[in-house]
Amino acid sequence: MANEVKKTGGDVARAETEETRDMGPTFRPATDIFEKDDVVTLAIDMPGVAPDSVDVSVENRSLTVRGRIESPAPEGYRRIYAEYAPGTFERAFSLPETIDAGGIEASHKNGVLTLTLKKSEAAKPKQIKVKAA
Amino acid sequence: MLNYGLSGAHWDPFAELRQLQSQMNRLFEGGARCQRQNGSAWPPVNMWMGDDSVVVTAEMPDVAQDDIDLTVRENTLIIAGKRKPVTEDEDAAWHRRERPWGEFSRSIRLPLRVDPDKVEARVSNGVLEVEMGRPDAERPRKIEVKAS
Repeated sequence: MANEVKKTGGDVARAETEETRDMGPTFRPATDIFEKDDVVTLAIDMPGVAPDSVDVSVENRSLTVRGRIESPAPEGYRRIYAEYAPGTFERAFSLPETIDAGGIEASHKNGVLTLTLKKSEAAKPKQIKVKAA
Repeated sequence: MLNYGLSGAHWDPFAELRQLQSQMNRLFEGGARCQRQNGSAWPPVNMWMGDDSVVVTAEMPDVAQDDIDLTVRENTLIIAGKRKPVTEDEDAAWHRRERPWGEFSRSIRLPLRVDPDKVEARVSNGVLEVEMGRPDAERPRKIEVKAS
């Protein structure tokens, strides 16, 4: 996609805009976040996104999820009414220091992306034994 | 019940106003059963027209196949079902809860009468696709002109 856009010197910002337009509109997916027993779970609605076109990345304690909606027209049909449109789901979350960025697990099923984040060992409450002197 | 016009010629600007009003009412009701993702009916649907059939697609992530209840009668399709919350653990601490959950039901007026025997439904990546065909008796037919 991006290859189609000719990048000229100093014109990078423009090229990115072209790329964004190529991907269609961007939607903010509805998300549930809950925490239990040192595990934070995110459930992100991404209907129409195939598991292999989901992209999860972590950079500078920012977690970004992205998924391209694949909704081809049923063959031989033309659209006569629409409440949702093809495009890209994208959303960024900032990770608190207490989360172990290396231990994020992701799965995608029935159009829902589920991320499991674990608290880092350092952030877990610790019991300190008091030694008898 | 929601009615959808076939083309721009059938577009009713007051329908949108009524919809807006009901959205506002829902907004102020508080404690609504479902939080709507974009303030409109759930699940959002698209409609597609073929030669002798119509397809309705609906974005319904996380609804298991067995939890979808489809009813077709004449020119009405009803999509009903239940969406389970992501967790029912009462000890879980919620940071954000935007995804609608609970029971839903939506009635969609189709542009043609459909044959209940000609309905096919599938789900893929959280998108439901219902293909419905016109009854044979109502198909447009060519009439031969006989020489007298």
